[in-house]
Amino acid sequence: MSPSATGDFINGTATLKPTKANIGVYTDPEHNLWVAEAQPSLESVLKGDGLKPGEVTVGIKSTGICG
Amino acid sequence: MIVTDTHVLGHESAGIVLAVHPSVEHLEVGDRVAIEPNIPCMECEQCLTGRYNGCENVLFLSTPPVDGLLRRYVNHPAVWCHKIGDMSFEDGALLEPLSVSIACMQRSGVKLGDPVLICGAGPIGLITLLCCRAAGAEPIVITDIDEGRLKFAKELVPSVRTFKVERMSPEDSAKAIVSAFGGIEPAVALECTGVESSVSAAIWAVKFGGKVFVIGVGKNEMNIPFMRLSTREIDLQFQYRYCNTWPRAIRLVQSGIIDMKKLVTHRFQLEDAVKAFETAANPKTGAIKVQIKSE
Repeated sequence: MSPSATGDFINGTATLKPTKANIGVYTDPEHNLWVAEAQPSLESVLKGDGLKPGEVTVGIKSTGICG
Repeated sequence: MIVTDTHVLGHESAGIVLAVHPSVEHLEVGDRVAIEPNIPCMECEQCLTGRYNGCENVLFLSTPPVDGLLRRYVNHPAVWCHKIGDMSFEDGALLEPLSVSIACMQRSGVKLGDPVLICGAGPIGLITLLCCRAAGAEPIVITDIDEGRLKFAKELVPSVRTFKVERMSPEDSAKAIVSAFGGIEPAVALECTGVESSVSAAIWAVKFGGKVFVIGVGKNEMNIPFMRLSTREIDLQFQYRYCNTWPRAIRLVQSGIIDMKKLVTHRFQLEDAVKAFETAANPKTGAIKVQIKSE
């Protein structure tokens, strides 16, 4: 089975096709912080080709900072 | 938990399902989900007995070298994505720290009418305060070194009694805490700081046969009043993350029993995440929970 691509329609409503590049917030042993490209790529998300069995792609909308 | 290489941060997230592998049956594109940020092996004794937080082979997102959730898109096992219905994404992200507090409530055994001491009015202490109030603990005293955080706690739960920690011995601090209880020794202390002096004060404060439950993490070795524990038959108990808490957390938020909305004090876009971390780390900002959004 090949993974499904992202949906274009839900209940007849066009939605959910991401357009922005994936970025993430990184740190390193010196505790530097920076924003840079992250995986999976937008292209991979659109194709759905990076999904393993049992997985979903989530478009993260909100993340809390721990502490 | 030492950072040994570059990795992505973040383990408190919620979002929307964008793509689904055909093998996944319980989620669909468009579902709103909160992400449980662990991938346990599901083969070891801890996993097979339901305590997967003890899995030594777990991949815990944002713990080096495993990348975290502070990204725009993440591929994650569907089994660790929990549907949240029409709950806000902010609340969905807060299910992770709520899970910490729920795990504490389940194992500490706080009961209706228990006098409870909460050490530390940071995010976990405040969410634990909400849980203790919902569980019917009374009275509740919360401590902190920061007046602003104690004021925040009082606004969040007006019935809570606040205690500002001053520089004094843990034994003297415990006496002052018991005074804040009106002379009642707490049955349970929920220690949310991991600071040695605070753990010790909690041990000195609880009643004979009471419990000190340590949620916070601290240094590898600590000096604690061992003989006080012994002669007062005080249980000292610890917590490592959580297991099986998201469904319970979702019910508590959806029902309105736990309302964490006031805890989110600052919001930033993902592109400005560095500013978000600077804000969270600066005590002068008054930040409690800082959330990072992605459009």
